[in-house]
Amino acid sequence: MNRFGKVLLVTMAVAVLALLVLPVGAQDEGGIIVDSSFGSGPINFNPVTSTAASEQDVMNRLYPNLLGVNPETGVIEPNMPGGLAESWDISDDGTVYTFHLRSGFTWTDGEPVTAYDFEYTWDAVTSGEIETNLVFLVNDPVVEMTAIDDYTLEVTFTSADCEALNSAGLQPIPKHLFEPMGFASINEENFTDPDDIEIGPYQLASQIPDQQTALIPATWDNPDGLPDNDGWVMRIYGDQTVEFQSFLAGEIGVLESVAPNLQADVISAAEDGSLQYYQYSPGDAWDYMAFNLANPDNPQAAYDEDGNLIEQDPHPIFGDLRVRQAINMAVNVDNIIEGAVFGNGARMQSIYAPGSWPYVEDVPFYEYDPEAAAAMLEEAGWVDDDNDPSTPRVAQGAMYAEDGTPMTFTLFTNQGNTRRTAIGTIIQDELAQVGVGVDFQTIDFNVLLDIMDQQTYDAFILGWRNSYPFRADQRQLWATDSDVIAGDNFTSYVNPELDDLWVQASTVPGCDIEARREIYSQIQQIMHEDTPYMFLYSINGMYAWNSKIQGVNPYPGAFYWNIEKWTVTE
Amino acid sequence: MATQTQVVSLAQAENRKVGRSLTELALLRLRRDRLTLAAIALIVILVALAALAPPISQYVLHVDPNRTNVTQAYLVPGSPGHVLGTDDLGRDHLARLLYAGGVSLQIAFFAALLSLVLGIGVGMMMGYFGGVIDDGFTWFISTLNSIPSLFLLLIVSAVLNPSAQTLILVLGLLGWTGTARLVRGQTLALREREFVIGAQAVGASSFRIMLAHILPNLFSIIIVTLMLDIGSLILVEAGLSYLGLGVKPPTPTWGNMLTDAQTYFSKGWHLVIMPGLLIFITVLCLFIIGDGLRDAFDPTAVD
Amino acid sequence: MIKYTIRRLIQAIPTFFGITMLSYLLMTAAPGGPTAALAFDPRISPQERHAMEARLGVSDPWPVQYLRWLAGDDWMRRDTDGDGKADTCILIPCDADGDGQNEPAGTRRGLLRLDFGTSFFERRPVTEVIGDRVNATFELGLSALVVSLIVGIPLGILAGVYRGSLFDNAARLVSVVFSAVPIFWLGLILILIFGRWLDILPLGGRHGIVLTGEVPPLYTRLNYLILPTFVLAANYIAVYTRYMRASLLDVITQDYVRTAQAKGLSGRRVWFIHTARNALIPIATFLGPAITGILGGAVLTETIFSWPGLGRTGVSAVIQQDYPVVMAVVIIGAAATIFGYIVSDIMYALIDPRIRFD
Repeated sequence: MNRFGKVLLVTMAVAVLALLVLPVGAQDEGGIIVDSSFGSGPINFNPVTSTAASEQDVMNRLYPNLLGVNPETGVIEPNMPGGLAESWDISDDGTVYTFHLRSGFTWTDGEPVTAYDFEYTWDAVTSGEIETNLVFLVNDPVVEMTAIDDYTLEVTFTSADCEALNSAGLQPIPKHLFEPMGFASINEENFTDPDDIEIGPYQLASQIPDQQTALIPATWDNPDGLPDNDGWVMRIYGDQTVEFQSFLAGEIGVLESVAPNLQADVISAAEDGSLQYYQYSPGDAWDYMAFNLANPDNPQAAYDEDGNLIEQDPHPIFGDLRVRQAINMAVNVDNIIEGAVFGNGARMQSIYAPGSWPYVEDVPFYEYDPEAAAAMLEEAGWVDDDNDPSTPRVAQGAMYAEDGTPMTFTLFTNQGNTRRTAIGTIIQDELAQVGVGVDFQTIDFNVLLDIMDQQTYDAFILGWRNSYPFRADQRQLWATDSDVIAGDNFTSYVNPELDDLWVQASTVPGCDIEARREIYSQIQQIMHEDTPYMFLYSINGMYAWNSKIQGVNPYPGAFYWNIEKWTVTE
Repeated sequence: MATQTQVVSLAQAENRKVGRSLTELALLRLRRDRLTLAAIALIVILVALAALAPPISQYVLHVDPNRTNVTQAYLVPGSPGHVLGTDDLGRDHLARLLYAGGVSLQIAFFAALLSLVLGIGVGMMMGYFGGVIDDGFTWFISTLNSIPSLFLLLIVSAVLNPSAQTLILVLGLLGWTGTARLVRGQTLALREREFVIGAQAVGASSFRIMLAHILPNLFSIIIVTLMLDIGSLILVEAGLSYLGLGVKPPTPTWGNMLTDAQTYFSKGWHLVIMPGLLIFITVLCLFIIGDGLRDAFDPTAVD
Repeated sequence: MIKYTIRRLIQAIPTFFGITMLSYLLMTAAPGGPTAALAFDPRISPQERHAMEARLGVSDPWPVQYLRWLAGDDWMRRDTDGDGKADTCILIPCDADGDGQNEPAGTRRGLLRLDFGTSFFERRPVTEVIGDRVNATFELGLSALVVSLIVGIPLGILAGVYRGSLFDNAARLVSVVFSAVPIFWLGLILILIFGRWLDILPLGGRHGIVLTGEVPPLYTRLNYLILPTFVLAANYIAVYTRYMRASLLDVITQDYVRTAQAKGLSGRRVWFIHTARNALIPIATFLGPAITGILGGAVLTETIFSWPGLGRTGVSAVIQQDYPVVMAVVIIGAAATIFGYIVSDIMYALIDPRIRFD
């Protein structure tokens, strides 16, 4: 190679090297807590219109709630961190709550935060002029929120309910700013400008979409004092593997929710003391497989237009309880826990995860027993006509299927979720062993939601996320009048006895925990036997943080409750 | 009458002569190009393995690619009974790779074929007829080409939720413009050649001329484009899978195996390496073959 | 030349309409619709969802939606009596959500009056949404383009000049290798090597933590740019190397090079003065497609490197079916591409004096 070529090559090499050794932008990260989020990042910090979970994390630093939760017990109590209500009185009939608010909190501009802000926020949410998800959260149980004076707020509920307070939590927006402009102006305010108004103890310092959201201590007084650290930053990652590696590399200080597949990695990485973690069970979410109990070719809501119960047309396969129970016995849920969540899950026999307060141990599990399952299917009129176990059974005297119908069904889950894909794959494989054919498909989430709403499916795999504070009432999922139009009873599960029990459990006089647990125990027993879902497991939760951060003292569901006291050492 | 027949047969003779000699020359050059030959051999082996996935897993590997066994998950390559180890659910990794390869290769092959057929058809029509047809298609092609193709693919994939079959259609329908331009240029040149003018003189139909006289002369372009297209489409399929818009599991493709494996890559590194490596080797071979064939068919190449 | 550019721009108008119509048609054909993704809250009922769809206007037939996007809806839904509710409506009903009350008058002015609309998800003007991201993509795209040119062209020339040498074979092999790797896989492997194993480069993002809203100046964060630039450029380094080499070899065999050699000019000078200049033509021709390709590649690169650019926004907008944002991203991509083709043509003419603008 001649001189020219060499010169050219050397120049290129030098250019590349120069890029590598150029001064690295020195950023001062001392004292800052760095959290992360995966996917599209937060874009809206308006407490009324925000929708994403990552946004809630940011807003919780900027706006106190009306109600605080005791981090140790997970129960709403007066005078708790993050809550403005310092005490409340309940009317004799249990429907009117009078909250007494703490004073001394101010907005950025010095205006005090008062009960009128909450009243205004409530009016805005229910005005119908605002695109908000909150209205669906609160408009059913809450009738009205009225400010009596600056620090007294009266909240009226439709009926006495032991979990009424779960529906009353609200973060306020400033009345004095929005009132002159009308409710509609709230839609246009995302609170993403550092000059926007907050309460504290943090304030927004910068918001760079898809990159980072940075908070610094407020520059005005807060009755609980200002944070001991220099700020809190949420960095946004496009790829989950890269996000996790960034945590191991120390670029991120906090992983607020460690996915089950990564929990073992965190535990082994923590051995050298550079990381700390907190694992808890039950975690925040649980997975299940739902059976459609009604005929997908003839989907109907529970009630007709006049409010009369419609007789549901049963599903040809799952309409028969014995078939559902047999399927439960044919699937080894321990295998699924191992394969889908790497053993980081607690098996559920019914609607509550082990460790939650209404959970009772005496509800049995379906024992894994493929032979008994096969016998049960045989008894239910699904027979192996060709003596070839690898082909699906066919109906021969089945309850709701014509003779000769093959025992195959379609199983959906949402795409892009490896955990649920693993569940479906294992179910498909294990049911094939007892002669049940499963056409397993992963589809777009939106499409799946449409199919669920229309009730034109056979079965699907999804999960529910527990609300925080924990809510025992699940009428949303199981009550007859939740059969899709008004709720999430996608399975068309109709059981009048259960409808009564739900009401009883949430209106026990005095809300005695033991009395309520007694009723929930009956409900769990019924749900276990009727098995409209095949209940799988609840996923263990985990928080992890860099050892440089001190003062972290988490409880299940409550990680950031004392973030103001955290400090970061170099 | 006699003269007409003579002209036609002359044209055909020249056509055949050109075709044969070029092909012969190309084969001669290919025989000396060891890299391309090696790539061809490797591709043939890979295709054969993927095509024979069911018998191979049944009779050679003695595994069922769908049988899960979580107690046997994440076995490393070389474990007894599992040459390339097992995946997250304890399925034999090699068998899964072979099945997935079949799907990935089929998608890429049929999509490339579809876009090739479209591209040749449109390109020949544009080049041969010119005028309004040419202008119309030119506008359409430049419109399609003005959208970054991945955006268009994303939109279409989000709309269709592709299965393997629809993905073939989508990729094929979006990928033909390059070929059409190339073919158009060649056809423009060929249209002025003696044997085409001769055939026109004797009143052969346009369709016949395109099929009998122009198409055979496009052979080298066709084969080169096919190889390069299949290669790029394998990469596109993988990219779509990474964004969650490709073929959905449980149908395995190399792309979605590679993407999903990232979730558990600290437990089974081989699950990330193997599908990536297979994509890489396959695409590399196809590109080398494409380049090699282009060189071999190049009439101006210096020997 | 100005006349030529203007003519090209005019020619681009029908192309522009074709693109927007096609994209809009595809978007509205997607199942679910934006509210499905917007409102996955179990407490949202289907009726409320339909009402939301009506308010966003996404339940109208697609030609109406397209027209609204293009020409606005302030003329479709007017308020003549000043009560804040529309009363004179054409093409779309005054009471779209069926709640018995007329909707407020239309306020969108449409793209033709430079109103890109409002993002369904971010609830703010699309111009702001795009404005927040366009710099990041421009930065990454431009540096990838420059790197692929300054690495690809010399590499291609050298490979062509030293045809058959070890260097030539190595360059050819490397260029094929680069174009055969899945881009996200390459990105992940490089992140693991340089970010985790060697620990000399950051694992992603455009810059480190900043407590003020300003993005730090480029020279302080070049280390963040290296890997994504390389990954995005890799394919085009390969492409340029190959094209450069091929066209150089093509030119070498032509007569005027032989003539120059016959005139006694020294070998190397002939190569570089006569051949390189002519071989630049395909590079110019290739600029348009390269811009499209790099924008497309940015989708994957930005995702794996957590780069806050248009590509990543485009993907989430497509998945969330945020039509106004998708359309804006498509238009920007198309504009960049058309621009690239025009620049190509101009460069083409500058390099090759035989080509005239007419």
